[in-house]
Amino acid sequence: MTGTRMMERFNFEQLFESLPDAILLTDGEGKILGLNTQAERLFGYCRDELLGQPIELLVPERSRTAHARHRKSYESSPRPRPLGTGLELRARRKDGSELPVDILLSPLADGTGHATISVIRDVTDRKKYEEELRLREEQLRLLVESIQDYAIFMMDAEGRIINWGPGAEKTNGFRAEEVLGKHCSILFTPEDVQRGLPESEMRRAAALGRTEDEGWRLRRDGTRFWANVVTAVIRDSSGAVRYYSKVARDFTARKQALEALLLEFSNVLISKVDIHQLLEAISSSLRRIFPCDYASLALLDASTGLIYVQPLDNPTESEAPRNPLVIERSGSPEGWALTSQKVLTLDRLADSGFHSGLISHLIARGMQSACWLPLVSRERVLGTLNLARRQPNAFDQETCHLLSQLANQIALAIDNALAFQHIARLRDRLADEKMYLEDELRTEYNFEEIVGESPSLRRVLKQAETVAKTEATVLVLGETGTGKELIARAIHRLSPRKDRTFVKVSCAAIPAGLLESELFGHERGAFTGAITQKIGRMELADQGTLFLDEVGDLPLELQPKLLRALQEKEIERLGSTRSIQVDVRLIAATNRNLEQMVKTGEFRSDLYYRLRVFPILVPPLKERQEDIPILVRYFTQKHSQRMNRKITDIPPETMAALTRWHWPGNIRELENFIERAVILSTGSTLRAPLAELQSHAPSAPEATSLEVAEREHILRILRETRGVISGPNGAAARLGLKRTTLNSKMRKLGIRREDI
Amino acid sequence: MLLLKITTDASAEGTKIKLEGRLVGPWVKELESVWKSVTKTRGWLEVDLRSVSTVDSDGKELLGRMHDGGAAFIVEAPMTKYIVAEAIRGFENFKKRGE
Repeated sequence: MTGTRMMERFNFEQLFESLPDAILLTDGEGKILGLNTQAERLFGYCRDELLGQPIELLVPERSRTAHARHRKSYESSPRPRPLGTGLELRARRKDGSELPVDILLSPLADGTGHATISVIRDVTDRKKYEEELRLREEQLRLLVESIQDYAIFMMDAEGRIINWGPGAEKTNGFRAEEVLGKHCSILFTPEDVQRGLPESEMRRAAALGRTEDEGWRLRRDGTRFWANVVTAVIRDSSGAVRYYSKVARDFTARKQALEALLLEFSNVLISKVDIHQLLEAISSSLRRIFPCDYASLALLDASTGLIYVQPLDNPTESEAPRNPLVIERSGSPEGWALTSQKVLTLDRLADSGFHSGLISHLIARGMQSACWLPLVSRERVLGTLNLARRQPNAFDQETCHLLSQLANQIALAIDNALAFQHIARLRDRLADEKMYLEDELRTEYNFEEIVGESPSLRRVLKQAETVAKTEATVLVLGETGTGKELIARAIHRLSPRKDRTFVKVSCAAIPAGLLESELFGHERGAFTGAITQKIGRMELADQGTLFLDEVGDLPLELQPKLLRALQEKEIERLGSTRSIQVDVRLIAATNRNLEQMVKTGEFRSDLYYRLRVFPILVPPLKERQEDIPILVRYFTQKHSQRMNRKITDIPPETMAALTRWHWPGNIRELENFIERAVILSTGSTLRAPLAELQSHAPSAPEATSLEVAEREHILRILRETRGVISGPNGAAARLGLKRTTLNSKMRKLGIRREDI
Repeated sequence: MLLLKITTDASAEGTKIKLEGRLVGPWVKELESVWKSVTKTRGWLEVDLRSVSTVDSDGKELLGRMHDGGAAFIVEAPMTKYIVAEAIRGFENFKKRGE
């Protein structure tokens, strides 16, 4: 069979020409029967030079004998297969040069004989790449094996160790043959294995591509070392995880050094419960561990949402500001770190995009990079630790890791100091409250002190009960000794605030210069004599009731401050800029004519109107004469019990004389008189010194203007007529005035319906 | 009321110290340090005691020494007058015993 016939028969010529590989057709003796153009190009022969020639012509001389042997072996059992599997096959060009090739043999048979097709591929480029790859692998291997301080090894997708370098052997103590093929969990502590840490570490690396962790690992001898481990994932072209590479370093010494440092840092900080001492300790300790050009603490005021930035001592700043800088949370790096609870590093402040006051402050002082570390304690973010350097990029990952640990210690110390401060504040407040309540106990006030059954008293009690349930400010008016304070206390006890403190301030009893401090409190050093911090009565009355007795004696210059505190529900202690929220229900009392004082400029009108939301007028004793016998019996019993006396009889003439008396000092005068009578009584009968009453002629009304007297008279009649003006029993008729005249007088004297 | 407020008003001719509150306990030392600081300046010293509500034994002793040092007291209430007189007399007796 000729080659032409074979080619025609199989019609392969066109197909062979279209293929990129060289193709030779040989007979059973190895003679070349046909070839394609690629074969001519590859070997440098023209077609005619090769046709009829033995195939060994294209084999290097040294390999021709072996090649003939291989060929005969193939001819004995022809089937498609690669030639010389596992051998580095080389072909020979016409010019004698050699090239690496891959050869695939396939038999062709038609019943009369057979031929062989050899597909020859030039693998020069592939071999070159393979060689390069081999060299690179060798370099990498040498590099890996030369690193003795890093444990470098690889694992398959299931976590079995497939590669183990000498560094790993040195770090972990296992020889390669002891770990290859075993699961990486042999390197973990039993507790971590139980927690599933090996698997979770691989899962995390698979999800993130690369992870860095620190933790305890096991050596071959069972000892532990603190490892810093970087895990990276190697994927195949489909994206599936094929391998994990691990680089582990023994950080035990570093961890011990850091722990010693942190312990020292912690010991210094934790011993400071005073926030100012703590700031100083943070400042000095921090600088010994981490040199920085600027340091400050930003603390969040949860009530206002504002951030107070307190600079720590900055040695490079000659005029370090001591007062905190107040900044808004939004848009500031502090706010970002607070909200995200993540470390924020700005490698170049000028290009940061943040425009807070602190950034400008830092840039103005030549700082180029900065770091904000959230201070989180007990899952509560307290603020941030702010550090800055004059050079850019000063805060790398490792530095931030160290600083984060310092920030954790600082957060804990600040939390403790704030808790201590809070407890100290509560303790002081409790001490003040205790002292105040002890004073209160001595006054022995209670409901039973309100004695009487007269309609006027019952009206007052009804008003007190009505207003008690509200939050309204009450102004208790009445002459001296009428029991205004008892009414104020009754309102408190009937109010929802009854379980909180009732705090009394007698404006007339406290020197004017001290009243401000008494009401609002002061910080230590606010003025000469302020040797300790003092909580004011308003703060003491928070959630409770503040009773301002003798409010008419409140100094004019203090009135706007009180008004502001009542309206804005916040105060500032003297010497402090910090606002304190107070929720106080106010009851004021006076025996003075505030309206008149407003007219004469002695009392501010705005405060007056703020106070008289609900006025209650406590009637003088002379307007409730029917209560006098009850009061006489009550005070007789009270004082005789106190003095261990037994007085059972009060002579009718004594009672009549006491009832007739006009009692300008009201109930207080009556009580004092009865107390004196009890002292003078030796038996069971009350011996009242009635001569005292007779010796004092009924006193003239208190010095007052005609207008005031007229106002009081009209008011009394109006009260008796229950506010009815016209009609036969109305106030106008009783006063002998026309209704229009009375209305006109009421307007002139400022009498309103609520005054009645 | 637990405190003493001390207000100092100094002029070229002399110094006026106004006391408000209780001259007791630690506030006695506080007044003493204020007194010592103003005695370094020349001129008269006037101490306004009209708003003082209580004086303890240490306070009385200090008032006696202040009087001995040339301080003049402004007093109004009979009780305060009495206390100041006692303080002055007490300190004079003390001095006599020392002599």
